[in-house]
Amino acid sequence: MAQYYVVEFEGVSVSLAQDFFELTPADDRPIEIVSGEIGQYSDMGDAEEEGLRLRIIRGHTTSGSGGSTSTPRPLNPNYGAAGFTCEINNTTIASAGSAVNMWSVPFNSRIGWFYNPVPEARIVANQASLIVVRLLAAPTDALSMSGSLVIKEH
Amino acid sequence: MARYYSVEFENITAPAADIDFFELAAADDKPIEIVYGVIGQFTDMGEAEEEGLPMTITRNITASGSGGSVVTPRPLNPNDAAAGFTCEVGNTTTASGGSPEILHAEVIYSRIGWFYLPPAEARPKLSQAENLMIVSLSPWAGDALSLSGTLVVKEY
Repeated sequence: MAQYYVVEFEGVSVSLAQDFFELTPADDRPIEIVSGEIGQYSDMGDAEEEGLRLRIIRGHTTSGSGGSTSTPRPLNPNYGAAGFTCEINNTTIASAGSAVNMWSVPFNSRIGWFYNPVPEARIVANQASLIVVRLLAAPTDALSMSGSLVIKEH
Repeated sequence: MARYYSVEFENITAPAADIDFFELAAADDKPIEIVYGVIGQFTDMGEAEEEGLPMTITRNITASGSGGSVVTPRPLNPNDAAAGFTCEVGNTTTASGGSPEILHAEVIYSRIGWFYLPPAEARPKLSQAENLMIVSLSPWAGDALSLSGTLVVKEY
């Protein structure tokens, strides 16, 4: 039975392009991104507004580095531990493999990113294929950011 | 069985004139429909630069545009086969001809972007007989903008 997990980061100073999230599916347990939110809370007001370029990429095979690990938390405490793993805020981004661009959209720094596709429009990843949520370019100045993804694991 | 694909563009520059963000052509006997779409810009920020962007979805155009590029539809499920439909993005010479049917029109705030998620029964559909379907910024004569965007397309 499919189970649902959350991965997140909170209060991270972001001054470089990076992989906000890097997900590695487990053997025979595909995952899909159910929803996502990312925002910042340090640069408010009209003069500090900027556009942040986001992309979801599937297919890298070499993990990034420079960030940390986020343990997937089951949304239902009765679920078992997740099989997939997650790294967050890797400033050396994932690389290699046959990466394909699945999703691109910039978001307004004062609004944030809200991703909530209908179930049939979710992006799926299999084992041996990383999926990353990437900030493509550094912000104009450092931002204090938080974000979450909900992941369905089959 | 229907399958789902994403097509996207990243960091294209729209001139101060009309642009077709997406141009879709259905394959023979494989109709498509737009499930979901997002488009945003990241260069004109702040209240002083805010503007209204007229967005349209138009079907039944016969002559393909040019000036952009071809993108390969990516299956959302990596186990799915390649798509039959084709897609061009960022055509600055817009598609033309035929008997255009505007299926959707709205104006979006440039600082917020376009979020399009129609109910399933209200999705714009295209079969091969209806030629091309485009998602456009039109009519447009405002600033040049740098934009990115994504469509999710269902193919039967």
